[in-house]
Amino acid sequence: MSRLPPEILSYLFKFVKQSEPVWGSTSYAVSKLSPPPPTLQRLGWIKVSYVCRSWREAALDSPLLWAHPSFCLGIRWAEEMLLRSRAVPIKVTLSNSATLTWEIQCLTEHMSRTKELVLARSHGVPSASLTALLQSSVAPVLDKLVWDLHHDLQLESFSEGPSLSLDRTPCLRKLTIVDTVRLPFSTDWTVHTSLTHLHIRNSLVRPTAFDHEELLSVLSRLPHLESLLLVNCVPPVVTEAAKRRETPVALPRLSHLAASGMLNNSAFFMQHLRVPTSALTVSFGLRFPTLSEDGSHDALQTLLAHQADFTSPLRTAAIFWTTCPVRVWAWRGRTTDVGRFPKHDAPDNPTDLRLHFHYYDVRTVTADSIIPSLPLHDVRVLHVVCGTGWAPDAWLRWQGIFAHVEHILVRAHVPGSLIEKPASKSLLKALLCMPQDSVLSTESTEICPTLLFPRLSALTLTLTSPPRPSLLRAVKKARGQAGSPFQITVLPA
Amino acid sequence: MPTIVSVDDSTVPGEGSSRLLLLVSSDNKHIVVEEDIMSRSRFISKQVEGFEATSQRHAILLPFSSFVLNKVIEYCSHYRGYYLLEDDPDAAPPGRSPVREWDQEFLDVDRNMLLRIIKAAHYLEIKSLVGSCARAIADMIRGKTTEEMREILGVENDFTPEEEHSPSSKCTG
Repeated sequence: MSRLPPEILSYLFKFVKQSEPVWGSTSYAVSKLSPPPPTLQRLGWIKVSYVCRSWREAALDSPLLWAHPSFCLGIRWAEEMLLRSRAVPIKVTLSNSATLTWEIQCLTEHMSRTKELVLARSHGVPSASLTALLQSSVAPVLDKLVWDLHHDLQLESFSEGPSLSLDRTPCLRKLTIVDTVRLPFSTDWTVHTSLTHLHIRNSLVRPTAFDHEELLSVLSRLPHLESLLLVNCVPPVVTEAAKRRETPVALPRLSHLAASGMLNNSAFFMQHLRVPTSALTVSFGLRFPTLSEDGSHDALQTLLAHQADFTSPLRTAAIFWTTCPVRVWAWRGRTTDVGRFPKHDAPDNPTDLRLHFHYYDVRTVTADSIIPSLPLHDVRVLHVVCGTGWAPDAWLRWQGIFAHVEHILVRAHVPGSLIEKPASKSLLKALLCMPQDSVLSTESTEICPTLLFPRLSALTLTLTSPPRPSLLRAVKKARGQAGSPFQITVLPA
Repeated sequence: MPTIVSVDDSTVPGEGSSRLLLLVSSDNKHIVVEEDIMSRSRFISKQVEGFEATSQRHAILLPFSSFVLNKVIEYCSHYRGYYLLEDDPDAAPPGRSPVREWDQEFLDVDRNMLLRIIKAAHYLEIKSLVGSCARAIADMIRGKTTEEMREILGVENDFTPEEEHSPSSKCTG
């Protein structure tokens, strides 16, 4: 083993590092409850440098291994890691308030090569020094910044947050800001073409220190945005300037948009954005479940009709509530809240149904939110875009409503991840209603595939890697049980 | 650079939709394999490009046994035509992900064989296979002490007592 080339050893150590982080970086909470492990074990993956000379040399000669310096082993180790990382871009996570002053000083020295910066701290940590650091530093390679100071929500002590001059961070692509009251930008920048992800999340709906016009003004200077997430921070419509605005802000590259919070604010905000019809997902998380009772239902319908072109065959939309497991599916230009919208609002019998399952959407679906009386009897083609998680039993409640489905197309949503997940097998088993292990309830195991898709003639799986033999066996078994054996096609993604 | 020997074109056809390559293992076994299958190997791809530049096709001599070579060909055959992120030189390095289930079964071999496969994959520049092997080895030594790591992987402790406990001037563990 010691004769393995250093490049292989370096590669191996990368995986050891992933599975065995330095003690403290993931076991911080546990550390308060249990005694620390022996010294060498605390080093996590670093202990590979204690195995033999060649391993040590390989580890020390791999600066990328040290490019995420850990502060939890103390100052000496952090300095050593920074030294060993040489000049490669580093990822810094500040999380140890005991050495805050030193950490900030250290970060200042290495800001020029900091590629990722995560500021995640527990309660009561003053943010002023961090704000000052960001405002005074030039970070030429900074690619990702997360500002999550996790303030005490009971005290509503949201911080003001950073005030970034994007001219100082020319490479910044991903910016996440949590629980701040103002937009994280200063005014001394013009257009920033690197930023592709802007996520602003507040744990509570509370007054913001910015208005619609300011928000739209910032967005107008971020023309390359691909992902925009605004959680509980869309400001209310109060300014006359905002009301008078006539030209929408164009975000031509946007592929994911989520605006949650008060519906009317989100609706007004959306009306001033021009979003491409090729956007994969437009999500609205609505804070209050009383949608159909307060008139918001109509507002939502109007909003969707106005903003989203759901007649486009490539457009899928997932709309979900954050406080209740109700979802809206949109197809053929009509929308239906499966759980709550009145029946007469359901679309005419569609023949081509596209469902987009969000990871946590499906996980939170309950029996009551799946109404088997939906008029889906004429669906002939069922598209299933797979994420990475499933609630297989949800499918079983659809028994009888897909009686005319002839073709099912399952497509991996996340390249490289679906087929590796055991859940993908569960999905297919649930989809075809085959006997399944404990994932499904006892009664579900008695359902025959011919009951759910009696007219199924073709199943197309578009996968990112070849299906496992066990998966194929399972599908073929289902085919054998079906009244009319269906054709199975596996396509590479 | 590998050693290459000239071969008769009749032995290795160069025409047709699926051209063949002749690979020669260190135990002098001649293995004919479709070029498409081995295209996952950047090393082989570069060799083939060289053939095209000189209009001559050669057998490719490889410094590992036919047993190992056949395992690598089995891997490449399985993933023929599939895009694997790890093999894309333009893609970002893959993050934390488990070993693919098929790979797990494929790599369910003894330690020495696993090490031979990873060396061969490294030589052939098949990053996805190197990655799967490395993950498998990392799984074997996860949570183990340094002494257990040595035992599992047959590594000799060649440190002096002083060296063993001081990997750097500053940190003493």
